[in-house]
Amino acid sequence: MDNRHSMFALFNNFEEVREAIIELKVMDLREGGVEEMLMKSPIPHPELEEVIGARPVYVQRFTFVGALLGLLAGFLLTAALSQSMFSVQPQGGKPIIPIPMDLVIMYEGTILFGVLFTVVGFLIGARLLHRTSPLYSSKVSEDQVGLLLEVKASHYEKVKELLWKHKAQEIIEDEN
Amino acid sequence: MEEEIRKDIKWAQINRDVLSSMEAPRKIYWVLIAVCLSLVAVGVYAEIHQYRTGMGEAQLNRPQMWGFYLANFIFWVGVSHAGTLLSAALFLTNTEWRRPVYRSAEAMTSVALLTAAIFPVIHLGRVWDFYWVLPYANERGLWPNFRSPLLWDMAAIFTYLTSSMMFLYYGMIPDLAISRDNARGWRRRLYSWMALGWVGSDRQWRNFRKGYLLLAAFLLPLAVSVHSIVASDFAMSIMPGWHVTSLPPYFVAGALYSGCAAIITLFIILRHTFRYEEYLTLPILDKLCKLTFAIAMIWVYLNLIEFASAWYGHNMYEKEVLIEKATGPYAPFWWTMIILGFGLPFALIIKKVRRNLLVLTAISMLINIIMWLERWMIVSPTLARNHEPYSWGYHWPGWVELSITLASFAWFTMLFLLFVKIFPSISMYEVKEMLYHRRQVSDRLVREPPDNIESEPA
Repeated sequence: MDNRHSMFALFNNFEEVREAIIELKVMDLREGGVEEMLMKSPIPHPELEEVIGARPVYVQRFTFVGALLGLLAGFLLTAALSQSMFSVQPQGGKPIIPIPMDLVIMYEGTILFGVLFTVVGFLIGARLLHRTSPLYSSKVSEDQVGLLLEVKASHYEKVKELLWKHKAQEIIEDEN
Repeated sequence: MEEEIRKDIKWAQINRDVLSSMEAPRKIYWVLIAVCLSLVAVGVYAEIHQYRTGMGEAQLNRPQMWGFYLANFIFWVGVSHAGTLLSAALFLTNTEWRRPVYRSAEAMTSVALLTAAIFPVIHLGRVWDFYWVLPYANERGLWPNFRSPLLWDMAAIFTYLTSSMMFLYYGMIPDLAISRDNARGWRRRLYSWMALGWVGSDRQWRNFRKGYLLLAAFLLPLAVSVHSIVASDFAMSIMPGWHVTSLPPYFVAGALYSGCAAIITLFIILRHTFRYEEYLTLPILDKLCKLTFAIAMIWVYLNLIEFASAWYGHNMYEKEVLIEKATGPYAPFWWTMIILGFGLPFALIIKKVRRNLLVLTAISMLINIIMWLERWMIVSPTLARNHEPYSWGYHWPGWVELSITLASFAWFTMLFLLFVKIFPSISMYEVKEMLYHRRQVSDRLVREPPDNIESEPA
């Protein structure tokens, strides 16, 4: 198996990164030896993310499941509490499980669980708390845009040359 | 006139400005902290005195069982209202000027809720039994009424506090990473831990954007529900003056009104103490003032609706309470609230007022005092004149309630000031994003001027 290297190039602006990504794409990433590409930037850039390619986001599924569970939990909580109370203090004429007033708790439960699951979905989807590549520069949190590439050893120099050509300011290297 | 944030400001400069201000605020910061600490100490002393002597010190007796403490509770829940609600609403409507100001507004929400949460416990009297306010299952033979709006209250406020804190923290993660990359010592350790390994990768940003949108969409209806549920504590009773259908929207409008005024006060304090003149600009303050005016007009309208319902509703008890408010012992407070609450926002339509920081500070603080009076005028006059004349009685606060009330303002301000000292109160990445998009637009206009602009006629 071909040995892989990681490299992290820093650029001054998004336009230069865009040019570099387009040329890497033209090379055909797999054929050109680029296994993985990740952009690190100080602000989000949806247009450039499209150039990098699709990366599915599943946060909304977590939200949906969380909201449904919250709705159910709200109902079960209020229903169980009302029923336990009813068995001790029977109240003639009143429903054992009063739906209209339970709706408020169900509404709050939906939102609470929806919010919590959204945050969990984000943590999982964004791979926070994961071990990530040590290739990072604090300049990314200032004003530079980084491009993290995993490259086959055979194509390493070629890709590096391409990055210099597109005005990379600095290339940090690491061997996997 | 001071302009918008400069377009040519360097991104690294934004980081430096915000982070260095956090570490070295103006001296007035420490003066404010000292004043707040002193007032909190007075409040703690009053609470200890009340604890040792009994709840009689708070002038709580039949029929006035709620007094200042519940008025304070609904006031602080109200103040909390505006921060997250406005942040979420302005985010969903893609309002640009939200970016430098939303973090402090969201922090205000969490801090105000933490202040509000103290009052049910103080009101309980036996503070060591604070957990009894939580209506959990039928333990201890209490058999609380799970059909009560108080259960809704607990659920709504718990959900709002949790969700607001999540929203605040979530939006702060990229800035915590910036702080981590620039800090040393304990700050670095704290930010590293809280940034959760954020590196600004495109995968992270994609998930972040989607999640933030979903959270904002949840927070908007949640914020509205919270204060309508607090209003239900009153409206679900059969007490005259409270049993009104328009009470929940009236509460929401009042909450937004006081919350906006609080945002203006904190905006000015933050701008001065942390040298944020470059970011918290006067045009943003101008827009906040206009928004406050618009919300104040909704509040005025809902007040008038409430009076009209009481007057024309032909319910003698309702009418009696309204007349009592306007002519009884509470009349000076009620009229102050009505005259200033209705009149003061009109000052905000004058441009010179909107640009004068001293006048604005005074107006915004005065609005909050008025809105506090409004809360008291909701609680006490109704209890004073309920259905049964044999249990009529007025509530006048003693030094204990006054001290604890004053201490709550100091506690709120102190928590806010501590937050902005430890965490970046201006969203650095959002300011950068805003400037980037502005620059893109102006560059595009230079490259491709719109062809529909006709030259001026000779």
